[in-house]
Amino acid sequence: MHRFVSQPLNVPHHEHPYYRADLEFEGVERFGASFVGLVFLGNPEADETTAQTPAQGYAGRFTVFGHSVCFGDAGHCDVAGRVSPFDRNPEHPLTPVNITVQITDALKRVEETQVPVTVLAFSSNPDDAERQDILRFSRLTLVTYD
Amino acid sequence: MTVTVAATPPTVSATILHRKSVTKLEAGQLADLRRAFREVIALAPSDDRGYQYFAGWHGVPLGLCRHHEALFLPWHRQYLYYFELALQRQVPGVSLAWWDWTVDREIPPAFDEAEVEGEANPLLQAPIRVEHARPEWPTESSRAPGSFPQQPELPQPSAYQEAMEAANFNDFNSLITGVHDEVHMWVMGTMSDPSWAAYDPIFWAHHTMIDRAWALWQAAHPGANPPSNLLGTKLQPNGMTVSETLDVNQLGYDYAGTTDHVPGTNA
Repeated sequence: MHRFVSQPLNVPHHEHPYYRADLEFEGVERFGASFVGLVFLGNPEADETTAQTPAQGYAGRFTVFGHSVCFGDAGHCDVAGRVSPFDRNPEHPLTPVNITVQITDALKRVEETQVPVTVLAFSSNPDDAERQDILRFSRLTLVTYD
Repeated sequence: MTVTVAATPPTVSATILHRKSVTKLEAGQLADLRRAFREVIALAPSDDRGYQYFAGWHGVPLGLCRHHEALFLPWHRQYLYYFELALQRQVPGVSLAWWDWTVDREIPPAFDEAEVEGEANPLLQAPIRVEHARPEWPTESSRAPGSFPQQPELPQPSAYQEAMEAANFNDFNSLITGVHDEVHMWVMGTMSDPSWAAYDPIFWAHHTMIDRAWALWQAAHPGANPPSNLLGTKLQPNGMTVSETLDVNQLGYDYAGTTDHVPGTNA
């Protein structure tokens, strides 16, 4: 299991009421075995034994359908940009993606003005059990909609 | 002199086929589906009418599938369309069938039985015959349902329902993608990796369910299309555009709860 704990994110409360809140994981990489991410708010000690309940800050989950096999030669699975402005090839299939988890109810239970996000990432490949780089992404954003 | 002519395709009237739940197939329909799978699986890996060819679109060796993006649903719709045509080339009139995992909480028996009438069930397992395969690559599809500790059950029907209630395409696409991923992770084995997933015959029943979900959602949300800047995008490898995927009737099929036929006066 790989545990990621974010820096605290600012939580809008009564001064900025919202009807929906999303966590956006930006630039999630997909090379590697498929994995599940469990998301907790305000529970940096969460681990595989933590109950997925509101009391534990559980906010939701997401799955990344990963590509574990590189079937080309060296460099085949490196995400390459466009060769030129005239390049009409589709995006590289492993181009990092953004994944959204709706956390409206969980965020409304948070009483603090800041909250860290914990993600427990579990690989589908048992050989990855000790890996600490299962979840790889560029930025985490909390978005609320009013 | 012979020239290549850009002819206007004629419009013709045609009767669409109805895809059905695998649990509602009549015995003859299931037999036809099995026979079609058996025939395409028997074709050589190099034959572009065969199972290896189409499974290879999704993963090894072509890797054309699109996930976690707005092309997810259109790409897989055209994928099913071309594969269904390949099945129909072997067994005219056969249709794909969907696995409703919100109701049927195990692999459907039709896809799980080892043998049918003394023959290996072609819906259970398929070979993986990739040219220049590496020793560590799988040589046949496999499953281990519920074996991933973080996905011991199929996604809850409420997750599917939440997706169906999404108000716009982006939300629907995001939510149904999550449900889709979880089914793959529940089946496990080759289904847990897009490189090999489409080699498992259950892949097609799962994705027919996803395509049906999109069709139902579309019917409830007229005009809620993928982003307009993508509508002209040509989907690999055959170049169908995203726009051309939006109406299942124009692709020759629809989804039905039940169908029944009786002879007419000219029969």
